[in-house]
Amino acid sequence: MSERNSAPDFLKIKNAMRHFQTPEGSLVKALDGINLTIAQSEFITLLGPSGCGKTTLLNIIAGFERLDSGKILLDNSPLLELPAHKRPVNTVFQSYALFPHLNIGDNVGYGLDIHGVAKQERNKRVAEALEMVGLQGVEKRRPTQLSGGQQQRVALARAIVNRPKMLLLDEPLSALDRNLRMKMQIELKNLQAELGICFLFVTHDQEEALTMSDRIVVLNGGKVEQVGTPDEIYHRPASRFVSEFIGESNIFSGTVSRCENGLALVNADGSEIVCQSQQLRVGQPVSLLLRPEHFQLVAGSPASGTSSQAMIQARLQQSVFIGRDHQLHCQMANGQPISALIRSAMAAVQPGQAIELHYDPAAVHVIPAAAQQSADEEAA
Amino acid sequence: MKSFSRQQKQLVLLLAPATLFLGIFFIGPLLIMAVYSFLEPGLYGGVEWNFYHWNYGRVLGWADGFYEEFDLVYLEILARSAGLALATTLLTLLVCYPAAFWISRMSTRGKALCLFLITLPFFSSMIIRLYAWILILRDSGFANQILDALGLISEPLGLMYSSTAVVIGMIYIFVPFMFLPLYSSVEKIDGKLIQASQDLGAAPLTTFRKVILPLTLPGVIAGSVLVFIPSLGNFVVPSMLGGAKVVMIGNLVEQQFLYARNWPFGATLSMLMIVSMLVIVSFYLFKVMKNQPQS
Repeated sequence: MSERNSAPDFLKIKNAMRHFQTPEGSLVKALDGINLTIAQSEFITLLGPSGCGKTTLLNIIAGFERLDSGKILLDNSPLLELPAHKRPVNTVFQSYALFPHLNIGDNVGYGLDIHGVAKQERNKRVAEALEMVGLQGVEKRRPTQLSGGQQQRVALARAIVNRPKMLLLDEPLSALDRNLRMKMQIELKNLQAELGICFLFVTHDQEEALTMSDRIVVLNGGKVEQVGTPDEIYHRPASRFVSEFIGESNIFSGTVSRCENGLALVNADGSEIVCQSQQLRVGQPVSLLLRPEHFQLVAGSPASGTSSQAMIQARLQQSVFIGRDHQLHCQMANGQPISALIRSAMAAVQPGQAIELHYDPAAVHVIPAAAQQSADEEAA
Repeated sequence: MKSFSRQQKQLVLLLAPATLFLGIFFIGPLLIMAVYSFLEPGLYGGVEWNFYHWNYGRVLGWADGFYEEFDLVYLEILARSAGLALATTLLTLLVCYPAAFWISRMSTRGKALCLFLITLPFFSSMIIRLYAWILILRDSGFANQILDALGLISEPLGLMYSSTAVVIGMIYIFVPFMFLPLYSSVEKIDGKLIQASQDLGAAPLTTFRKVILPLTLPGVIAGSVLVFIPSLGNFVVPSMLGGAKVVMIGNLVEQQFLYARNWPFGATLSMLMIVSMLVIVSFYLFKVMKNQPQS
């Protein structure tokens, strides 16, 4: 839709720092040296637990909060010098923040009225924006007469009607029920593609982030843990924090005991895990990630041939039916719990039974050590 | 026999005490006053039971030219009272609006403390507090001393016994009546709405006009009415701080009842005051509501 080339460095955040003073007098780093570059027509998600700084960053871009130090450039011009009402960005608030004293038409037309858009043009654009979010002919109603989902759409229409260069969304779906939320996720993604503008979406819901984003920025303690596509974030997490925060994970920590033919054998507290890696050296401490869906179940039978090493012996503790799959909660010989997702048809095992969980060594992800160390420091 | 629903019975029971109280102690006296205003004043106080419209004639422009004389001074006093009450209302609003905002952003403890401080004057007698104002405002008072010491004035301002003193006193007395309703509506404003307005391009003044003012309007209306009505009829403040120079309608009514012993004329002045209050307040409400067709 955009005729210009999608600039890869549309929004540049350089070394953003923000501290807060807690009532007890200690200093909290809400943003601790954030560097980020966002492209012009990207759907980008800031993901992290509460207190990670994602909403602070959004508020700073919107102009509701200031930065202690650092720079932000939007479309090559400094953003921080502008007051909130002069910034070419619009926000969709978590609580929607619709004006209760105005009807829907006046809510959506608020920005256009401020900018003195002629009445005819204004009404046309309001109707278009409402149509875009799937709400026609509600201009005369009051916000309180609409359902939560409808109010959400009005808030969206009120923001996009101004044709911002960038749309900021602050956990906009968190108040909706699950079905509506999933529907809105798809609609938001489509709307973003249609408008061709950058959506900066803040959420603590990793599923939401994976569904919608072009790229995800995982934040923790005011720092960027990882920036990547949903696929990269899920399959190749850069740190232990990311692998544990996104999806379910089984993490094995140990030292490399043997390397051959591009395979490395890791001794993790008594059990051996095989992974495909050229970089690992014998004696090196590592953490390995295996997602629950990477396991295949072989019940009790003796291991056969080549795959004999790429498996984990465990005892089934509990098997939970969750639809298409069964979730198996098992325990390894060394006591470490392990979770596996097995097709229901294949999961005919009883609790207490010894099982073998087979995996492909190529599916094992080696969590980079440096990032892991810093994550451990954070946790300590 | 018609039977009443449970709800209707409850309604009657709940409303009975208030209805009885207001009926006996408010509507009754009001009716007595309305009737008295059309009676002939007795020679030594009290009333003669004859229909007598000259009371109104004295104020509004007809007179028998023998016992009762038309005098424009009553209408002047009524107009001046309305003017002073209006000034008091506007100035109290100006004082309270920023304060309400400032306090609504404080911590819970700060809010509680400030609300307590606002209501603190109620703990002592109004008369004593007005005497304190005399100490401040008189020619040898604190205000003049300070201004003199700062070299801003060379002779006393003559604040006492002027309209200024009366308005200052009334602002002081009526600030809590404006502040409390205003504060309750200011505090309810969701900060996100102000952010949303900024976000959509509104400069601070536009945000105030288009979002903050309409949302706090119920508080502004309630506060203005609560200040305007009692300040129009107030007679304590003008008699203490205005002296004989600033007579307000309340003082005039007081004089008629207590000193001139002309009850019918006092009743007439009261009725005229009530009518002008009703006219001004309904005009105000009508104006305000017309600009806010919603809610």
